[in-house]
Amino acid sequence: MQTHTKNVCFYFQVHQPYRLSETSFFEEEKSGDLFLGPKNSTNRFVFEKVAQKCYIPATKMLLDLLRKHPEFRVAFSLSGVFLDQCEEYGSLGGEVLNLFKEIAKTKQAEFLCETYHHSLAFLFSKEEYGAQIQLQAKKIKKLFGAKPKIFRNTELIYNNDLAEFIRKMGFEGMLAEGWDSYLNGRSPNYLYQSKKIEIHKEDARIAKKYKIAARAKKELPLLLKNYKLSDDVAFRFSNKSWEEHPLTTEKYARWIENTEGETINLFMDYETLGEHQWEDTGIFEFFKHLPKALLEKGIGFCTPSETIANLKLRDEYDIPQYLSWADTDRDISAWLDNEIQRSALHELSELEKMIHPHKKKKGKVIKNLLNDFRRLQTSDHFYYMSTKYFNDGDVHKYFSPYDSEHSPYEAYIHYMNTLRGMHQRVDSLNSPKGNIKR
Amino acid sequence: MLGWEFPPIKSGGLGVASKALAEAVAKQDVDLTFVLPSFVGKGVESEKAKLPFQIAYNNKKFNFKLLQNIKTTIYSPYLQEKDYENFMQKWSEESENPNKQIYGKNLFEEIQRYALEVENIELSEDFDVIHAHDWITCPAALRLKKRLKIPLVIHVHATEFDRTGGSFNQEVYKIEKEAWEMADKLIAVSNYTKGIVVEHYGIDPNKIEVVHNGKDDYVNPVNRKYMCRSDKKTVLFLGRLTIQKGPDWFIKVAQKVLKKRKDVQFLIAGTGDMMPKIIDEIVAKGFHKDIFCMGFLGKEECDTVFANSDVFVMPSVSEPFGLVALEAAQRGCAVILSSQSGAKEVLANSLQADFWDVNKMANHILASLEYPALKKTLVENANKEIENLTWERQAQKTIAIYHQLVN
Repeated sequence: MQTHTKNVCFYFQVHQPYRLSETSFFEEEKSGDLFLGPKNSTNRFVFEKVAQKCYIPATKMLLDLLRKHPEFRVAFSLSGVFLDQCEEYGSLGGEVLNLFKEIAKTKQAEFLCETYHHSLAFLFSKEEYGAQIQLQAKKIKKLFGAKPKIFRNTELIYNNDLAEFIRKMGFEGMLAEGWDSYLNGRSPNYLYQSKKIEIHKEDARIAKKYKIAARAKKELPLLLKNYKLSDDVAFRFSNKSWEEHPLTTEKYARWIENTEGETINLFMDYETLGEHQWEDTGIFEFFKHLPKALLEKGIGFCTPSETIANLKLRDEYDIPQYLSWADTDRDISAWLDNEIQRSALHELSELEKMIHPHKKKKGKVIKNLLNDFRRLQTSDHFYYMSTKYFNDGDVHKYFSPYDSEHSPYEAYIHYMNTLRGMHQRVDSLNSPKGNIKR
Repeated sequence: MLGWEFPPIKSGGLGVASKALAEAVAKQDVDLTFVLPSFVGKGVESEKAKLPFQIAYNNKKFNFKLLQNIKTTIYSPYLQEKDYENFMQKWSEESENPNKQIYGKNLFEEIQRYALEVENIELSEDFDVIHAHDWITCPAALRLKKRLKIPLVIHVHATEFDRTGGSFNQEVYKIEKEAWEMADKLIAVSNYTKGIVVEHYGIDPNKIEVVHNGKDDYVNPVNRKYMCRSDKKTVLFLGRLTIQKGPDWFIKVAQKVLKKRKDVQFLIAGTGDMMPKIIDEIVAKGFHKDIFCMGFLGKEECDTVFANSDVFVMPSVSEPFGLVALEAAQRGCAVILSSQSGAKEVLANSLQADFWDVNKMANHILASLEYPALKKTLVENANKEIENLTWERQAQKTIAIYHQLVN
């Protein structure tokens, strides 16, 4: 294999939540699907829209690039709930899934692991967390042939405890945000490792219970997102008031060339390609020429696993508080900040206590209940309840603030109503003549 | 400034907003003279004594001119006084046209007399700008503009569209349209109102600035004797009982909620031409133990009712702004707004539904009562949101508009 002194490591996050169906106090317990999404923008509708704009054209483009440039590499994390939607939504869903399978066949791509339900489980139940990671590992192996070895947590939420849990589960590496206040002047463009700490015995036991490899490695290598270069594409690419607009392939390749370090980790949402940045911004043209432009400058490509195999471990990345890739705060306040978010998470963990004793039971009723319960753990539900940018009196500057569909309060109401229905279902499990419709 | 009402003598929404804005403007670098009809009627003399006839703020003058020959007591379209009710009842008996329930012929005569008085008013100072509040002062404003040859700003607190739900009184509509076309600048109290002025009156949007109303400075929670049950959850309507404010929709929503929960009482504070209809409806459907009409409440009584309510609902059919929604949020109520309102532009931390969407309104009420975290977050965030929405700031925006016109 040709060696480069500097490599780019691409990772794309592919995720679609199961948004909640609208709820009402006036309908008796619904036998309908809880996860169809709002009536005027159903989950299926959103999936189909994004598939046409992003999943299909972007994956075809990457497939071409992988075939054209044997040196090119990409990594994906496809949430389990995204994969479920591929399987649920007919031929279009099937087409999307097949394209990813084609990508896997090139052997130039790596599929990472995460929680199946793109969840916030780590915040309230290690049992749930471990179980969902194991589920996801199995799903990825089943669909793409290889057991995932590298972990990325929901929205890159990270701290020392979480990393130690992941190490104990047997993962060989993990992704995190490369954030200035923790880097303290260091560059994100090297291979770091997690800070080793003792976690609670009970948590360690759970990590082992759900382990994905026979033995845990001594270190957990970390790939840190270069947020400046990543966000230049993901957020600023089409921003006409940005001084660097328009961003050309050549200019971007030059920036990477001039950036010091061994691995430039470009992490972004897959929807950057065609959905966040529409096709007419030139985003596809930009990407099409990028591999060649970088290769000509002597810059190579690595998957996360290759990066970890090739590079020496450098410093420790010590993250005592929660870090994530969201908002400018880079903490977990996007999901857990205000009273309604806390109340929702509290009710969710109460439900966990009620469901837990039933988890080992067999049968469709339990299976459906558990699946619904886990879909309610998806981080997006909590993100919709955020009021962070709602309070500064300049609310009209933000997109659709007057559209009550986007109200954090309505998100909370539908969430809580749905949880209430779940409570009733668990209650009827406990009653001897449990009569459950679903 | 030309106005029609001024608290404490009259306190419809127009009076409250005109007074607060005038005082805030006068506290800044502006000499202001406020021209009003004189006040007559029972008990008015003692109230009149409270008016700040001549107050100096920072050496700036704030004068009042009361037009002795013009009286407002029974002719203002915003009053809740008994006289007015009787007057209105007489009118509605005489005519089947619903618009005549709102305006009598005498009001138009009065407006013209006001205009003549203003045109011939004795003025010792030089003025730079005329600022007129709502359509009733429009004919006067136009005459004064002609006489003084200075720019005219008309402040649109409400339109005929809002007051009548679309079935315009042609005479009022004509007065509004003509004056707005002639004015140099319009100030609309919300983007919602600006939209109506553009859409229904064909006024050039570039001529219209939006200056939202400000919040009042509410400090101490009063808690007077309270006559309603404290063991029940309380949902409040507070406003004139007119078609514009949607009290009939409130009753529908209340009935729906009561089907689901019995431990809720609904209060209706305010009076107006729909009062008899509302009471009939409550009694006929057997809700007289759940829905209470409290009649017109004074300021302290209002505060008491707010303090004892969990949820405030403003189901207006068309609400240019809705100051009362801000008052409710300041006094600790979760606020549910009709989507047809200007208040939602400054109170995103509220629940919203179309005024006719009884199902959604009822769901919002039930959710606010069911989930304490929801109410708490709504109230806290609403208060943060309106923290900077002060009359001082809105006065600065207004003065900036004066400067634009003068330079």
